[in-house]
Amino acid sequence: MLIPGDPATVLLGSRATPETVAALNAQMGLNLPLPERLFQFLARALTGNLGNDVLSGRPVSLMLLEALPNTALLAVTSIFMAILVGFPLGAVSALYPRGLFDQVIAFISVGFVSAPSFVSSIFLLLMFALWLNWFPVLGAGDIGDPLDQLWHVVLPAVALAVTWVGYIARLLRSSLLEVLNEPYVRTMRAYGVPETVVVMKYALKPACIPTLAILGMGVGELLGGAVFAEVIFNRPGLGSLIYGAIELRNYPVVQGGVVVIVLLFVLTNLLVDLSYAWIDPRVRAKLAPKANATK
Amino acid sequence: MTLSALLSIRALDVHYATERGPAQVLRGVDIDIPENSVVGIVGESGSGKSTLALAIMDLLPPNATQCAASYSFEGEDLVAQTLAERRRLRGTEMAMIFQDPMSSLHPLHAIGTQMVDTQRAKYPGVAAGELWQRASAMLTRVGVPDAAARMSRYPHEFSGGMRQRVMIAMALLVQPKLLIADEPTTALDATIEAQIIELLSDVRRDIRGSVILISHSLGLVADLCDHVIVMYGGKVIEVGKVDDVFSRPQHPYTEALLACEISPWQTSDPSAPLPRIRGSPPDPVEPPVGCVFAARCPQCFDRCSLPPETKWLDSGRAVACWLR
Amino acid sequence: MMGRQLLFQVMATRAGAFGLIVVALLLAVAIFSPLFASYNPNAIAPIDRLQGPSVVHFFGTDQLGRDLYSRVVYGTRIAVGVSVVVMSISLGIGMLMGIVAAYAPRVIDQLILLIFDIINSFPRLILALALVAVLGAGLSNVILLISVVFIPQFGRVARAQTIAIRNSLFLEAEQVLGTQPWRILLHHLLPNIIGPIFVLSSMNIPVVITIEAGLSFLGVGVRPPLASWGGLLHDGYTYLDQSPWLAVFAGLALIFATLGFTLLGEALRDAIDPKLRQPQ
Repeated sequence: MLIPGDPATVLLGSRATPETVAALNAQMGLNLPLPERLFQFLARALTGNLGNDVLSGRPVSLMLLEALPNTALLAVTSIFMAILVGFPLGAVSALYPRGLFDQVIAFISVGFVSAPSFVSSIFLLLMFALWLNWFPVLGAGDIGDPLDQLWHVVLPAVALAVTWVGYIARLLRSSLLEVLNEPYVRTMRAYGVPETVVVMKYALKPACIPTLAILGMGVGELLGGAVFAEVIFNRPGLGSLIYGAIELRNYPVVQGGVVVIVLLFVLTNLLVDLSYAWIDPRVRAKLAPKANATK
Repeated sequence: MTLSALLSIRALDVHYATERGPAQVLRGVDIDIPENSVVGIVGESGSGKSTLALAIMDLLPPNATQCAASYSFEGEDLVAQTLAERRRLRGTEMAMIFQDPMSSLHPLHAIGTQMVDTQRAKYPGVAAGELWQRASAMLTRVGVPDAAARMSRYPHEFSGGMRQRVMIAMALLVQPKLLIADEPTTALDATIEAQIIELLSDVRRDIRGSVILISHSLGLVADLCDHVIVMYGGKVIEVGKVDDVFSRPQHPYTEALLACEISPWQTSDPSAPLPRIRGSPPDPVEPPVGCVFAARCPQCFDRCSLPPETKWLDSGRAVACWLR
Repeated sequence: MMGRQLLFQVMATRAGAFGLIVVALLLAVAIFSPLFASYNPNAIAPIDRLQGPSVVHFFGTDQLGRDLYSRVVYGTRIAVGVSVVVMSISLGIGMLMGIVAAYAPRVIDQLILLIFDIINSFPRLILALALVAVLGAGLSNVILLISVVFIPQFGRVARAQTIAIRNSLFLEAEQVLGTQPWRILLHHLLPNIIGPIFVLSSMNIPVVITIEAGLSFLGVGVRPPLASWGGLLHDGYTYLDQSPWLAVFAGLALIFATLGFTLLGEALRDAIDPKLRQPQ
């Protein structure tokens, strides 16, 4: 639980006296007003200097760089899993709307979409690691042994992915249903194009676009969920770094970690926006206007 | 009844499921399309013309239900066939040109790709490269300049008139026995419309089959068609050769329709009110019991409270009106 | 009249009806917690620690022997209470900022939009976590800081609607007639805004519940002895190998609540604005 008190008191522990606390505060710059601290922080951050870890004195940027790959692995794996499972479920639901499959998936989707990721994490931990012993309980696996690392990432990635599978499936389902009634799909059917080709080649692509938008936003939620997953499964990464830092009032690390996460979030959304150009030639045309179409 | 009918449908009913209840869009429609002829279908918005076209091609949306007493194409009875067998006609013997070419062409694929895929049903063994060449040649035929380069372009890079030419080319490529053109010029500017009409009359000779031209423009139908079917409120109310029907209309609705056509060289008083048909089309959710036009007909009498039977006059003329 | 119609539409689907019942149940439990609880949620009895479900303790006991069922019941107060208050604060501040932005000079408008964008550029949980880390935990802090996260949504809606009617002719007409500008604004703005605001609120409540529970789980949320479900989950996690029941029931409570509010929110959205609805 969070220990009450300011950073200096916490750090000094039993050695805390009013003088030492004041001295440490001054050294850490904590006696300056908040806006000034913020400004200093941002100014330094622009040059890549995110300050130093209060405990060890190591540069924060280094610590974050060490932690980043673990979180990235977790995030990428869970997105991958969510798409791999969610897409087919959504597609099949759209092909046989209101059928039994569709209703079952819809029911499961809503249930899983609602469950907070840390609840799923704990339940999965309970069931598959503690009771069944199929997966390891803690850690990220031995460095240098990719298979071991993969084995360790499965459960947390599944916990994060579970929330997203339902979301993706439902979103794809409704996008597909809309697209399948569009006039341009009707043209293809009018010329006898087989339904499989209609769906896979002509309907799926436009249906992906709204799904992509949600994915971009979802990465933010995913990063939030990653914090919990790392704490619960005791994995190293940005999340557990930030969490540990909060407990100890290790502000530089907290600030640096939040900055990195926000950057990742913004970057991912940028990538999503760029992917629109890749998928939709109309967007490409707007970005790089060509000569006007002739009459 | 014509003997050599390419397409013959009896008692076609189509209704849509709506929030207010089923909407009867087509009721008891009988159609005969003779071989090697151009048949126009005219009527105002909501008369069911487009629905008829989609029903023939089995392209109605999922909330629509269609059934017919008989439906024969080239002598074969289609009602007895399975859905899959019926749909084999699509893109091989039947083709359709849609109303709005912008929304009818896939925005994310090149024109060439789409034109190749639409030929595959008709020419399954032919290589994609060959189909591409044929499509390119056809684009030139319909008047698209620089066709070879245009094949790799996307629909949004074409103007409205060009897109419609693409659609026409698509249809011609599969050499259908029946080509349905659903209001091909409605979405186009007047000048472009003239070009497309010219194109249509030009390629009419290339088509070794029949054409159904759906339009609300009587002038267009008069120009291009041999026969005409007049529809109102989901029913066929008059049928016959185009010159016949337009010069000697037998149904009050046809008369009124013709009266509404404005000739630019009319010498009548410009300050006089434009002729119009009083009232509004029937509500498909609650269709009238008697004659479908009775509420707006200037010559309606007591017998009109019963649905009129179709009277067959000479030489392929038919009209559904108690007055005849 | 409109309320009753809404009720019928929501009850029409199984999902909507389920959501409504669940939410009603949760509200009842939150308001009348003392009636539902069987024990004092803070009553410590170390002898009975970490027991499983029984007739005496429906959900078992926690590590200090407190009755889990009663703690879950009182946790409902936190979950529901925090979400409702947070939504109200976000709504109030957001709408105010939105309306101001619509009428203010361009500079202020851009500034407000910038604030919205900055808030939106953070993943929601991370923002709440960062704010709480810097400004401290505790119930009132949690409520205020989580509210920040949701201000832009309401702000944008309010701003857009205000801009839409700001230039309408009837506004000018009424001003000519002498009606107070505030009156005009509210009178015309409120009907247009109520739908989207209602939908946004109901769709966001499960998110607030999740964030609050998450913060409490990490130890930076509501402080003990207040029994937040997140806090219970934390205890459950700590003692997972000794007794799974803590985690199980706390988790189930969370799932139940988020599911119910989500279903109700979606049913409301379908009823209020079909344009927002996904096709069936």
